[in-house]
Amino acid sequence: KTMCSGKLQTALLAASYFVYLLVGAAVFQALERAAEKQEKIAAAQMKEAFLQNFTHLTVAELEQFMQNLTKAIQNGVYPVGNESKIEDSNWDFSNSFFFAGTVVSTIGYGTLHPKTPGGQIFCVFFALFGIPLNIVFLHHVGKMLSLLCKKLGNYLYEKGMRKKKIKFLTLLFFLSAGILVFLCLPSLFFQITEGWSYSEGIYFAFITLSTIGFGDYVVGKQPGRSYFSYYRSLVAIWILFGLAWIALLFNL
Amino acid sequence: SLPVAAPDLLDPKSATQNSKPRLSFSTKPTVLTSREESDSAINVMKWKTVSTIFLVVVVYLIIGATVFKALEQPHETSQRTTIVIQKQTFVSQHSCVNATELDELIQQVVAAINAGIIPLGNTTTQISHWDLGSSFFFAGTVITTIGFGNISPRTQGGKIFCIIYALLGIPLFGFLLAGVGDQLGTIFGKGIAKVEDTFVKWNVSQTKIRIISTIIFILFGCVLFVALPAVIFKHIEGWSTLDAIYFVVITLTTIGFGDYVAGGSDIEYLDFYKPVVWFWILVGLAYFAAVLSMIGDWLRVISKKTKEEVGEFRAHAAEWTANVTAEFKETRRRLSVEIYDKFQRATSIKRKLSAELAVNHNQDLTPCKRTLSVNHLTSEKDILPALTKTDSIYMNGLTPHCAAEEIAVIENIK
Repeated sequence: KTMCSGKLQTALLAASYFVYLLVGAAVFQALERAAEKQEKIAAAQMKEAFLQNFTHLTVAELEQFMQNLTKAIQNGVYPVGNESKIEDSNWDFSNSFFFAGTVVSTIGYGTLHPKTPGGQIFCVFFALFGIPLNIVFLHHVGKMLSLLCKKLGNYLYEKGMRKKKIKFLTLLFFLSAGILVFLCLPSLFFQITEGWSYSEGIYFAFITLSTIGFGDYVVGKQPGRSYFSYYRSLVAIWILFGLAWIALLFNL
Repeated sequence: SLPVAAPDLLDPKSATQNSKPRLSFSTKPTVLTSREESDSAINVMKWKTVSTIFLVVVVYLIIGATVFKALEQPHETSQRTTIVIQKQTFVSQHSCVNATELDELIQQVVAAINAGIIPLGNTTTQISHWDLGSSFFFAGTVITTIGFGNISPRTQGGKIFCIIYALLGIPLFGFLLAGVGDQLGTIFGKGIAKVEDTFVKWNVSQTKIRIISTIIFILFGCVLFVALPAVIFKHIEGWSTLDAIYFVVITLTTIGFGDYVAGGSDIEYLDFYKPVVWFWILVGLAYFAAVLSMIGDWLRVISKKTKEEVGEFRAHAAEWTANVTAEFKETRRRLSVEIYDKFQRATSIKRKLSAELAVNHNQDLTPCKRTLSVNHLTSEKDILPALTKTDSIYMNGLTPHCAAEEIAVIENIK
């Protein structure tokens, strides 16, 4: 009987998952398709305008240049500005450390990714062992933080509050404190350092901490901006504690 | 555990009389204090565990960073020099183009590529990334948290909806994944039970059976969820073997870089291709979750074994220290008794000699008080009062007025 109900449950879940995807697809399409069309037209116009400005430039030559440029950009190289800027490497130690962190936390932005076969093979094994390690770590941090929660709960209990109220209050406290510290404050910070709008900062924070990690917004990659040397490490620490906070929320 | 004074092992009386441990503080431990103590002990233990694991994670990341840097930086440098040369060639070939305008163009190209539009050829005729099939695909990347990123919402509304959609969808998908994992486990369990039965018939040990079934699980799953799809991707998408396997692992661990995306290139795909890819992702994720949790269990077993060994080592060390201390105390005690006895002997001989000298001068013979010295190891109580009554200031009960017979007494006692 239980096996039957288990199968039924799974089938129902699969069906609702499918429906959920369909609904999401329809909404995303409605919201995004028009904007995409605009951007495609803009890209075409950009090429047109460039060609018009420099009339002796042939289409083939521009196309060739664009191909080279696209390849470079997809490899994470933004050849903007003069040579000295181009000296900054994407694979210096602090950036590689940040990359290793995005692998192990399964965020995986993708703006930086290994291109060499050796790098890809190592990435596979690094992930297979690093992800469980990360999960075990977050699990323990979550447990420790929930101990703090319990202490707070005990303190309130001794003050004479009812258990249900305590549970609700502690959950509320950690939820709101976490949202403030891990979503709102960093967004303000990113407004200054990255020049994003506040809502863009919140979107980036959410996409990062949920480990979805699209890579459309990535810290430290704005062309034409200079970042202080431990910027990415600071962001990595924020990601680490934010993930621990989410682990705590799951424990509560 | 509460500290207890060690009973005096050399004193058999204390062993029988003192059943209660001699404590310098209250013998009534309250329940609260013991729980607080155990709580704080657990807190300390958890803090130690967490900081150890944190250290391990940081070291793991540092190792990864160093290796990635060594592997990728040379390639990146060559890419950079190439594009710089190409840029310079372009500028020199077309001298009317000035550097600032070119940089503007490049920035626009960067923005376009980040928006998911490749500015090659006729961009307007490129396949849309937001037709229903691709939007469905995108919704999937959101709630599985894979998040390839080759397409992502650009509008304000799209981003807000994405956040809400993820908040609800990720837990939903989590439940589904658990259910699928259960079903997979049941199916696999039924299949492996038959294999295990045959092994049991062959009298193979339990641990060996478990190891064999784990290996079969890994092999089977690898073929079904990794190797087979990789071959299909290689064939349809035109990737190399390594790229296909790399894509499979990066996707099923939900890292999802987006450098390779099945169904993301401008190829004419079959109609059922994308739905099949989605079904594969669903089941493959469950398989990978099982594999990753297995690796996590191994790590936990290794850390537990290390903890046990460290604990055993500590216990051994403590035992050894306690033994050494006890032996040292016993030796010290024995030595002090021997030294005292020898001292007594020396002084009594000295007295004897001086007494003999005195006897030679003085013919008075006073009968000595014959008292036996009490051997403190005997438990005869009648000797005690005699000891207390004697006037002798020496423990052996003899006075310096005694004659040669007392030496024999001393010798007997010895």
